[in-house]
Amino acid sequence: MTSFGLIPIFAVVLIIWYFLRTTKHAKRKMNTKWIYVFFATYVFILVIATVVVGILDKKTAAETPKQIPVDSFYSVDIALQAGDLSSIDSSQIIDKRTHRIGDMLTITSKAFDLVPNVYIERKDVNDGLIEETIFKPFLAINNYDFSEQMNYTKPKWENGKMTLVTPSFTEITYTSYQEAFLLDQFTGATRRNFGSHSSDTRQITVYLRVPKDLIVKTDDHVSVDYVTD
Amino acid sequence: MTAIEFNNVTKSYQSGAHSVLNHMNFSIQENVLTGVIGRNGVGKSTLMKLIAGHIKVSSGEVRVFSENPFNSLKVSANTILVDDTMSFSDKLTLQQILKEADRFYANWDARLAKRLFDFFSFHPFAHHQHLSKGKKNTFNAIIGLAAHCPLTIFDEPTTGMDTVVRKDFYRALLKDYIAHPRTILLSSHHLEEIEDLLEDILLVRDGTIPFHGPITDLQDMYVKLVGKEEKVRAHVVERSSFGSQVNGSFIEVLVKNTFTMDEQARLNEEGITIVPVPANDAYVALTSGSKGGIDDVFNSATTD
Amino acid sequence: MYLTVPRLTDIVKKQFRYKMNAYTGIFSSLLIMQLIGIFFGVNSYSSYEASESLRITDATSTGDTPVVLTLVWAFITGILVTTLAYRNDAFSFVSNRLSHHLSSFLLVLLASVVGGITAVLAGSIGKFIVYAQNSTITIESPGLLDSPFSFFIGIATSILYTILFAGLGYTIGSFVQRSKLVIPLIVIVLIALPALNLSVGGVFFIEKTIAFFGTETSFLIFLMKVVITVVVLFALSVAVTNKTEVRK
Repeated sequence: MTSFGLIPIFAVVLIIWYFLRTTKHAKRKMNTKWIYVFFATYVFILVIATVVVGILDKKTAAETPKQIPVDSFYSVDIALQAGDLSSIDSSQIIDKRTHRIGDMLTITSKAFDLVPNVYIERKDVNDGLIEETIFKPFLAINNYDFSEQMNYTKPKWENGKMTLVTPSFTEITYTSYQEAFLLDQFTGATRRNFGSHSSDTRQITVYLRVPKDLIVKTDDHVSVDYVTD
Repeated sequence: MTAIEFNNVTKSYQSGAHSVLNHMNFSIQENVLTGVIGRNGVGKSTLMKLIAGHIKVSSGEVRVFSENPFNSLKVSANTILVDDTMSFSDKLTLQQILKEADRFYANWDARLAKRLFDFFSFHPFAHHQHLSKGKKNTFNAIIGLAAHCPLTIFDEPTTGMDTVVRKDFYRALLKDYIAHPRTILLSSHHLEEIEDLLEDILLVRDGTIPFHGPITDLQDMYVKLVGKEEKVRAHVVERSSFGSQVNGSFIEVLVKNTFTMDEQARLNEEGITIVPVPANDAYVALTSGSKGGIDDVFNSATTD
Repeated sequence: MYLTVPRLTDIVKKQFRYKMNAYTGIFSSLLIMQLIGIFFGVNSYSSYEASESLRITDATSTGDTPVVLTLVWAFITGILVTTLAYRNDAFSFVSNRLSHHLSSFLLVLLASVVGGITAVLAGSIGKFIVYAQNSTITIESPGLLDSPFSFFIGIATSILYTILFAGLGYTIGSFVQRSKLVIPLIVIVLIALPALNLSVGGVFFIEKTIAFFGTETSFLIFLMKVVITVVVLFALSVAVTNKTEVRK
């Protein structure tokens, strides 16, 4: 794909080179007719490109991330803080697991960057079970939703110990094309400041329903929110 | 009918500076081939540009086809000025330039243009700015001829042309003029080259017109006395001579032709012949004026 | 030999055709400017932020550069057609000052319309390159099929601005032909006054002028503003150069 993209650039360089050559060697001046033929070809290419790009626009519009207000990303966290799991859309849930546990839960983190949030809700009973719900990470770049492209790794459970791990590396290229500023004057289109860039991100969120009297030990890197109702 | 009229025309390029044309008055009749003669820098080009409407008068009035030529579309459409400021886009080939000229000039003679173009062996795809000076002027001259404009002006058209081409051009001009009579102005500082061609002469000197009329009238203004030196000298002693040449014991002296019939008879008796002068000699005599010729510079130097 | 009686419209038509053939440099320079614009518009801005597990590369391409370079081209072209060389070329054939102005201006208008349209279309090439380089892309612009109305309004806007810049160049060029003293005056008005940040008429005037066109929200009023401005500029150009001597 990348090598394919080089072709137009190569063509542009070639055309510029050709022009510089013809203007330097004045003897080989381009004849009037040829300049117009050349120019007409250029216009033709532009029109074709416009139509093709118009079709591509329509096609990619379905595939490209949707624009979503940033607040909606945080609605999950707001609901979780209130312990209101039921109001969260099930599409946000990655996994639901149940783990047996003794008297104590240790939470450690091997992730130093984008550490998952952990919410803990105490159940009314001591049934020796932890119900774990994992919610999707999110990533918004300039208000576009790139959450689907975020890599994540579920926490590891081992003998009453939950380890938060660094997810595999995510690389996202945000490519955008902005119409010329001048042309927006009467279309009512707004445009972000040229060159400005904003992103919001959060890793997975883990919601744990734990037995009533479970002792929870955490290390310094982990922040735990206790849900109380 | 009068083609060109100058009424008290003065032209100076910077206000207050010395004027190039100085209260000039003359008129040129239609369908006359007039030579505009004068030394370099006397205002021939200025005069012609005024007629073509390229520049405007400082004072006075120019009329071409009874219109002020400056900004007149009528004058522009019926006039062509061929000079070295004629320029064409570097994007056009010579062939294309001829085609454009064809569109602009109603009387354009495409056949003549083509034949002259081929005769002077131009390449149709050559570009104007790549031509040598002589070639450029030849090409401009072709346009001037083929345009068949009712008023055709050539300002020093032969600069840079070689002798053969010059002769061919003048011949072409004459033939085309006879076939299509029109008002033609032709300037040159080489009168001897064009004197056979011209009907009238418009002499320009220091922004004024010391002579305007048929070329024969100019020639009649002067004669050459040829005879034994002491006899000739006796006759010209109270006349101003405009140049003399000693050949052994004979001398030729150029003087104003103011001899009466009696005087002419006496000169004949004394063996002095009265010889008509070429227009060029008359022109030189008229324009060198009382300052004398270059010989006088050396003569006075030896007597000092 | 009979005298031809030329009609102004006829001569203007002929000169227009002549200039279309003779001033092809206008179109080739437009082509070059837009290609450069496309070239620099693609990935004109990119930044990235990185952490241990995430890297975001933000590559923004824009249709700004072809449009801006087209405006620059229009301004320069406007000046160029008023210069001595172009004028002497014109006066080698039948012409007077008015017909020269009319045909030159028509040519500049035509070129501006072509320039204005192609400036917008040139964005498509940039867009296409962006598409070809990347699989996921966000388009922050109206497309032809997406919102045809916005697309054509965009083109109209582009044409009008191009004409405005060309007209400005043409007028400045005409004034410079009249007197070279205009050059320092322009430099003072355009550069020195804003740089000195003086609150004299100059700065005020420039800001007002930009706001006059740039903040207009009604397309029809904008259209009228541009048309009136260009007509006034043209009339000024004709007036100041009507006594110019040619082929001196």
